[in-house]
Amino acid sequence: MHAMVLEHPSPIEGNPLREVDVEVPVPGAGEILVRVKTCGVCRTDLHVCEGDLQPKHPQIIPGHEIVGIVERLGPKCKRFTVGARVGIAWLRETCGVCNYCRRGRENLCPNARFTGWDHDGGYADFATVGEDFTYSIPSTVDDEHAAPLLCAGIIGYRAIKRAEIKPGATVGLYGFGGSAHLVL
Amino acid sequence: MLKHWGCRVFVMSRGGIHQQLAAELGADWMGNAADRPPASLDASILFAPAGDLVPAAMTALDRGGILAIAGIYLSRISQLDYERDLFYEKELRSVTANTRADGEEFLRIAGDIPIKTSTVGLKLGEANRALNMLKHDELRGAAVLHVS
Repeated sequence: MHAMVLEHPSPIEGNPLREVDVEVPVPGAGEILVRVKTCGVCRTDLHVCEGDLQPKHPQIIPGHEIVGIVERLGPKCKRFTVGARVGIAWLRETCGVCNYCRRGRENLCPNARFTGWDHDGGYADFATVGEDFTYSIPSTVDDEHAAPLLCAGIIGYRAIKRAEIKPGATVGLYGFGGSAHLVL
Repeated sequence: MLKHWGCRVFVMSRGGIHQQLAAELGADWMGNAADRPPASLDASILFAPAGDLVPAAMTALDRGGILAIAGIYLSRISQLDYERDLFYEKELRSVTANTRADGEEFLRIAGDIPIKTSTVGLKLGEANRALNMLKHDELRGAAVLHVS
């Protein structure tokens, strides 16, 4: 499959991503293989490519705002069927047993793993993900416009909750890119 | 989303195309990154990865206001003044990823409103270009790679 892999983190002006052919990943138990339709480009990808966030393995494939179609099911998958339209986001695995996971704060799990940082992401024809960390995509939004919802949108929503913004409030947004324009 | 909730929203951004998009999407006021907004703020979100904006953002909060830092990376935060920036129970909070429940809630809301996404479509092989455009404030909204 075609993929954009990160050889060595470096300033993006030097084009650190290289287009290569790699093997199609094989979904493990509880995982699905997704044919990627669109993948949003997030500032976190830029931080990975430039080394502000060091990639967790060599030749990583960035991208964590993935909209696609279920191509194949790994063993023991029950949640989706082949052909379903799904999304893959940044958070892709948590331990489920630590204090944070048990208290409903899995975003703080010290064993969490992330798409496009720990594990290959969506700058490629195919990507895998655990079915428990897969989202259904609203039918009212097309593939291009759905992709940014999966990180920019979700993080913006999390930020709204963290800032305890209520209807009718007076709110400041500092910076106005992919996430802020969805919050507005 | 905030306009859907009837919020008054002030946008502080360094880029002209960003301010233009904010105006088109209904922002009530636009200024430069460190400008003082025209009223005290109940809450703010810092999206820019610029720690030097934190003091100004804290100063602009009303008593009891909350600033949430949305990014995974932030440059060094400039020195805060306790009386001006934190006293009167102002709060500075981080945002660390999200729970699956956050994602499911948001996607349901996004589909219901429905939230309008501004995008720039590019090919997979143009990923470097897309990231360059993001870095240099040349995107009007979010870049999206079309893969298959």
